[in-house]
Amino acid sequence: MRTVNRVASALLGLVALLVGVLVAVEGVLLLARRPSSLMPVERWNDAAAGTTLGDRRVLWASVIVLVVGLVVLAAQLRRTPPTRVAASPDHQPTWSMSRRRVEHRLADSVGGIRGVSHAKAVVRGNEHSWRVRISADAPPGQASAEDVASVAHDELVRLGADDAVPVEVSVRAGR
Amino acid sequence: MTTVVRREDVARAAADAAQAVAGVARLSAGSGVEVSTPYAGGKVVGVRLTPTGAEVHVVVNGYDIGQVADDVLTAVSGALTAAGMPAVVDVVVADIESVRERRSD
Repeated sequence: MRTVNRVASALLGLVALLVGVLVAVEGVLLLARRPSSLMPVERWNDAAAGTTLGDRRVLWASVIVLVVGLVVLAAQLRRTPPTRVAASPDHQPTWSMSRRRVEHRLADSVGGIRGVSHAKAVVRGNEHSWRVRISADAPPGQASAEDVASVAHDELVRLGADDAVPVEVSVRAGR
Repeated sequence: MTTVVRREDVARAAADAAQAVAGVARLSAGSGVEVSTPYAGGKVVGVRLTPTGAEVHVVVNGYDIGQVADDVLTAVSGALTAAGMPAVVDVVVADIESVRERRSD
């Protein structure tokens, strides 16, 4: 994510720099009463002034803007998991843990049970009210859902989480 | 006379206080947007000053995580108060370093 942010900021900075240089050069040319050669602003002005609302280009531009707007809206409204979870909502003052770290720790702990494989932990809810869903494969008779829940609970306690954090376990009969 | 407290000095004091706590391995920049306090010429990673205090992200090397978090909270809060800043501290345990335990049963 950090790399993406840096690349995006670098690109944005580059674009802003280029546009700024272009505008500055255009300004100087305008002050010097020299014809603009970098940006065909007069042609753009003529094209925009001669375009009506019924033009197909206006229609398509509107459709594209609408679709982009809907995509952005959907992305904003989508429920995302919390980046961190409060260790104990009743604990004052509070401190939090990285949600990913909690998931990794729980998956590692459950994966350490003999016979258990493909252990995965997912934290759902929000920062102050969260729950854990654990799924894993285990051959019949090797590890029960109760075993997994017990180990997960121990790990949550070790992490300093609230006792009341709900843990849902799903054990598939794997090999 | 008015004393001007520099932002970087406050952030550095908070970072030093957090790192001095037993059980703190290091400060963390977080996994998403970097947690830091930028200033002209540099940044203090792991501490983000907020209008009400500071957010501190730490990597803990022990199992008594709650105690370490409480100690960090107290230490950073003290550093902010000493600098005359608001002292609401938000401690985030970004990672835990410990010997991985394997259970056989």
